[in-house]
Amino acid sequence: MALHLDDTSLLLQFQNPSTKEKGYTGIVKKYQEKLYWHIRRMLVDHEDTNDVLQQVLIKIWNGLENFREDSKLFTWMYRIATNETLTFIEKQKKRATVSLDGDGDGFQDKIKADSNFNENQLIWKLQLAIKSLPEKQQLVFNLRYYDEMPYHQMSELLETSEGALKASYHFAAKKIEEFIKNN
Amino acid sequence: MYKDPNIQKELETISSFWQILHATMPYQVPAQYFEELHGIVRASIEKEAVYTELASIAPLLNSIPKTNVYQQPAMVQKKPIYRIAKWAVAAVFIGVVLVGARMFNNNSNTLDDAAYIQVDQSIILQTISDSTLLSYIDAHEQLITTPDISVPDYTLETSASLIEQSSDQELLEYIESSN
Repeated sequence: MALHLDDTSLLLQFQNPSTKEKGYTGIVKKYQEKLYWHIRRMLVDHEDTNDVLQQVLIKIWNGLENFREDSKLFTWMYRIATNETLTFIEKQKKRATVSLDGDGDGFQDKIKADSNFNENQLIWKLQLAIKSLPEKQQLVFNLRYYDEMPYHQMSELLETSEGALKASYHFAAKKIEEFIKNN
Repeated sequence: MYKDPNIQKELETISSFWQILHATMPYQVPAQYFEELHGIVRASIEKEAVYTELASIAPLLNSIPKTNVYQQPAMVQKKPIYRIAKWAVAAVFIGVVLVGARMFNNNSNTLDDAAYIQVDQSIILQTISDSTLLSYIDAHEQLITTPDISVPDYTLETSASLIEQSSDQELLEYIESSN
């Protein structure tokens, strides 16, 4: 596994014109996988994820000049990725005749279309169950379960109180359990 | 990869069901995707910079597609016979030149200049017919110098003197031939 510089050092590199490129490369290499999976869990499809991730990384390049470290770099990038992903889903909803919200039909079809999909495997059932949740609950569950994000960081990212996030996570876990038991 | 045990404990307090699940993702990522992503993003950033720059200078130009309007001429696939024809023509031409050059060299070698100079021209002239010689002379009239053979103008006086000088026999013969 590659060793990465801490965020402060990477930002200092980026702010120096002679090492700007190096600093940006360091930031991308450090966070690209986390951002990718954050988006992929929401969009399921790799091509869609790739499109959104590229947009996110371009926005990061354009926005880093004005990044004032009021929040952590990682949280700031996650916010960009989350907003871009939700915007992408909204655009897809407008285009599609079927609603992707709530019942998750569109995304569940995408999951089933995956070449490795196996309906008997628990990890695939889990993906179908997560996609049956409302978007906000999906986000909370994914950030906590897969990214192991602390509630205070998640609160900063989603601009929601920690208590509400804990409750949301609790409901999400219960719904997923129900879904898997019934399917 | 490090996993926070508190996350799993938290889930298990919600339900024991979560003991059997692990946070692994079943999705696949194309090979080399993360190695190549940075380069792709840098290229996109450069492209966007060009677009943004032009938008600030002449926005209309950004609305015109960058497709090439020119077309390359269509390549006509020649039949094999046409492809080898030019080589065949070239080969024949070279052959003709070589044979011609060889024949020329052979003729030059056999020409005996000394023998030609010693030829007795009077013997050759005897073998040529008169008609051939006359046609040759006609053709080369300008080149042959001839003595002045112009006939003097005859007047009545000269005719009378000629008659006086001629014998009767000669005059009779002339009259007979004139009739």
